[in-house]
Amino acid sequence: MVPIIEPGGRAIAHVHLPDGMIPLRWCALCYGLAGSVVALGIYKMPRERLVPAGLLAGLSFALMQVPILHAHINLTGLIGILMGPLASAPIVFLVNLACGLLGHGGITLVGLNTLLNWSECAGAWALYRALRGAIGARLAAGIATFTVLSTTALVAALIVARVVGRSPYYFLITLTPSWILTAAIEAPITASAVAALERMTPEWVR
Amino acid sequence: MRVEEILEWSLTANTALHRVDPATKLGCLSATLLALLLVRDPWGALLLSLPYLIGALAARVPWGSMARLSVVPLGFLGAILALMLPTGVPAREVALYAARGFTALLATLLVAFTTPFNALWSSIASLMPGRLAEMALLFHRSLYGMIDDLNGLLRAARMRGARPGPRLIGVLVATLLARSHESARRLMASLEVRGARGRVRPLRRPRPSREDAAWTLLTLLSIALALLRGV
Repeated sequence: MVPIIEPGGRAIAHVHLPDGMIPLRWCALCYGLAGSVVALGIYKMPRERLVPAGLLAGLSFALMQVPILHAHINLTGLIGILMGPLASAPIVFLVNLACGLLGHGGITLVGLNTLLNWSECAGAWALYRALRGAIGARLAAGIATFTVLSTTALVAALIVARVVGRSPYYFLITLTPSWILTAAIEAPITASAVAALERMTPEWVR
Repeated sequence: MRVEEILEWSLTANTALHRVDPATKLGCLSATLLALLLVRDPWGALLLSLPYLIGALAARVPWGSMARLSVVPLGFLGAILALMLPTGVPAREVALYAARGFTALLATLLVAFTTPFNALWSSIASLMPGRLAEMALLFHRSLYGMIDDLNGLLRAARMRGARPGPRLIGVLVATLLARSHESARRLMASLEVRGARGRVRPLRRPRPSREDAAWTLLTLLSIALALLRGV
């Protein structure tokens, strides 16, 4: 039988660079911004949402162990749709911190990865809410996830190019298509999960 | 990432590095990473890897597992460095990034392999504010169950002839979430009635040992040498 847990591949706009690529001032700035968003998310989160937040963090990390084609998924679209923009921040922070401690993405990059993943969550939440009424929860979740993840695939390539101080051209033609392909995998997973949750616990996806 | 290999080895092995307090290891790792970002000389960056190379040899960390876990980050690093060269980045700068990447990855993986993840995670959670610490502990508690459940559900689906495509994985995600929610909610309620308020207390007070002192000294020595070589 093919082992279920195998080394994962590229994740969506989640920079797998080791530490040392990004200058200290950038790391500090990203940690500062991410810290503010996480603090706001924790402060504003109602106590009863702590449980689903912790579980979603665990589920996101567990799912990273499952290789899907060339990639692994992060569930950022689903986290955003279920938890909203503010409560998503501490979730993606914990997941990125655990990844960093296990050598999967640098520890100094936890701030940057948290910001990237949080922007995916917030974008997916906003687009899902805008589309849900018109086209239904399943399709809205799929479209929101694909659109947002494809956009951050562009942003992540631009960030990598900016921090190494080079033209984004090479990064846009190599990294971005692979991230967009991964977005095309994550979008139907999110759509399917939202459709299933709509049947099981409809109040979660309203 | 093959997280189960790290978890298993870090929990079952008993080496000198396992006896170093997780907080000490985290402190030394942070100092090394900070020094890495300050050092501008590739040899200086490699000097910072010395304590971790010595530690890995002394702890007899499984090199095969280390190599497998390094494939993705080193592949990503290699791809970025390969993309840098044609854009006119000086070779010395590329060498610096390579040395920094190698050292940081070795240091992080060594700490992960020689520190049980529960100890590492509680050390970090004890520094977090109350609610974030609670969420961190819930994350840690649910993690192993989630990985086991996900494996079980995928295996069951495969045995029934289903291919684990996006639709199936989506349904599994929803099932796992709904199934885990009730038990986690009960756990939180039971903690609350026992007076838990989210403050994480370490199970034992850290007592600096000879291993702690030796590890700190070795790391600080490498940092001093690297910084002297060129910031």
